[in-house]
Amino acid sequence: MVKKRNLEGYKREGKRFIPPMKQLPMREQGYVKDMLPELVWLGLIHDRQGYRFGARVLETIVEAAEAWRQNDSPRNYALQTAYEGLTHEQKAKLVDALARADLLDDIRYAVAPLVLLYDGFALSFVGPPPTVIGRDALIQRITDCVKKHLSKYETPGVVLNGAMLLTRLVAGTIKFAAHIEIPDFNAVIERPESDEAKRAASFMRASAIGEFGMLELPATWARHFWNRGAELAPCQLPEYARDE
Amino acid sequence: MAPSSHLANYLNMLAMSDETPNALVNFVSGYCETVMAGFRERWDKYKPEIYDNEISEAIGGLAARQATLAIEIARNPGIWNGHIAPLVLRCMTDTHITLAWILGAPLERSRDYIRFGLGQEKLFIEYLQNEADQAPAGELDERVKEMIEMRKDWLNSQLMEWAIEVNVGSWSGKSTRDMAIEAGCEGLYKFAYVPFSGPAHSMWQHVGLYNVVPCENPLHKNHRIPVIPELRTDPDYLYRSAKYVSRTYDLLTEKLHLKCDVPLPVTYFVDNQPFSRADEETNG
Repeated sequence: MVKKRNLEGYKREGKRFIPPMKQLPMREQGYVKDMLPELVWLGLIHDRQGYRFGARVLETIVEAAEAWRQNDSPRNYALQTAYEGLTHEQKAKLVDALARADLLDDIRYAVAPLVLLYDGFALSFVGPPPTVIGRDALIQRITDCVKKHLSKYETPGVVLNGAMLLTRLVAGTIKFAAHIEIPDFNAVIERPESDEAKRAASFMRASAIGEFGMLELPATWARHFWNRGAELAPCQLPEYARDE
Repeated sequence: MAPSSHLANYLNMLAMSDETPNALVNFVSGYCETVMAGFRERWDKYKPEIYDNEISEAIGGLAARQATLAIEIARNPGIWNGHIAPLVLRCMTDTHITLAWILGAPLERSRDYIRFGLGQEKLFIEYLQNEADQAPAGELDERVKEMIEMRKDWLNSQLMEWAIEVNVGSWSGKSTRDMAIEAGCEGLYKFAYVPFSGPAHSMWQHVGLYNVVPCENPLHKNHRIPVIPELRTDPDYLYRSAKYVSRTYDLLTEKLHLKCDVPLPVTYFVDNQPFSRADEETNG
């Protein structure tokens, strides 16, 4: 047997060995670091009302945004940054559309942690929840939500990635060539262990990271989101590292 | 060496304290608590950057490493000698220089520091994997497979394996000397890092002093013969360690703009050390 060379496929540059994928001109993007803060508002909605409700929210927003779409660069409304540049009038129209679809109160409850605990949350124009929620409860909800969505390979994280694709499909701003076999995206929720679900999940992740990389969003919100997390709650050592 | 020699050395050490052996135990215990408290105070007052987490991970990790080394040397008086203590002290000077240099440009340098480490781990996994691939069927140790998987998981939890570069040069692109000069630690480099590098790498400047003695037989041309000398335990090594960890704490206080109240370990050492008589003997 021929012994494989160490670091096969790596390109040597002086004393550095560059892995094959890093030889491509790609911007480094992280799901947790950059994408999750943009998508976590939907995660909160999914946690409270389920995935189908989340899809209805996106559909309602995309339909409402149709009116001004042609005059603007295409936005992906699954991402919170997409709402940053909206005018007061556009925001009011979105709120009105969500209220007419009977979605608004549930959205307000769901995204309350982001509206009440964070500065600069672009969707804060939806307003606070109709009733008071304690600070500890808000922190617990956002903590649970982030924990649940940390892995892009498990259903909650897959669905967040898929939300970017869903928004594009609803808006009609993405088309697939006829020869591309589109997986059944519902399998991710209905049969998450199936091969079809895994194929659909890969498709969603690849589409999301590809689009996210091209958008080159500023890191302002993501940076605030993560650094604010450190202000809201202290570090937690794993049990094995705690003092007696 | 007879086991009783170790014991005699240790008892000799205990006898160096003015009072009872309890005085040494109490001193070491209080000293370690001071080191620990100094670290905790700084970490508690530091506001970590979570988005660019490399900064707090590198800085916090190196500070914890320095405290760990200070505590471990203190808890083991049997290594307060020229054979072993310099290994720890050299590591402490290295840790300080690395930390000081990183603090000069925290984001860029902490990222380089971490990615270099990930690259080294990646290279080691490649070695292990290639050896495992060569093992005859059925002879691969399951523990090796588990170790490879465990190490890969650790890498992937930080940066996907396929994105990790391997750098076989210096992590910073500079020599330790240049780093020390840039970070304002040239004195530490010259008078601690360099002399402690001899024992750390078992170079002749150490081996020639500690592990060979001149043969007195005139027929042997004054050649040197190997020995394993029993050295007296010397608390000066602990004092040096206290100075280094204190220097690191001072650096963190200054660079991170902290206000700290816990006394520095070196202050605790000076104010509480039970070695006065031994010190006089040592200095004499």
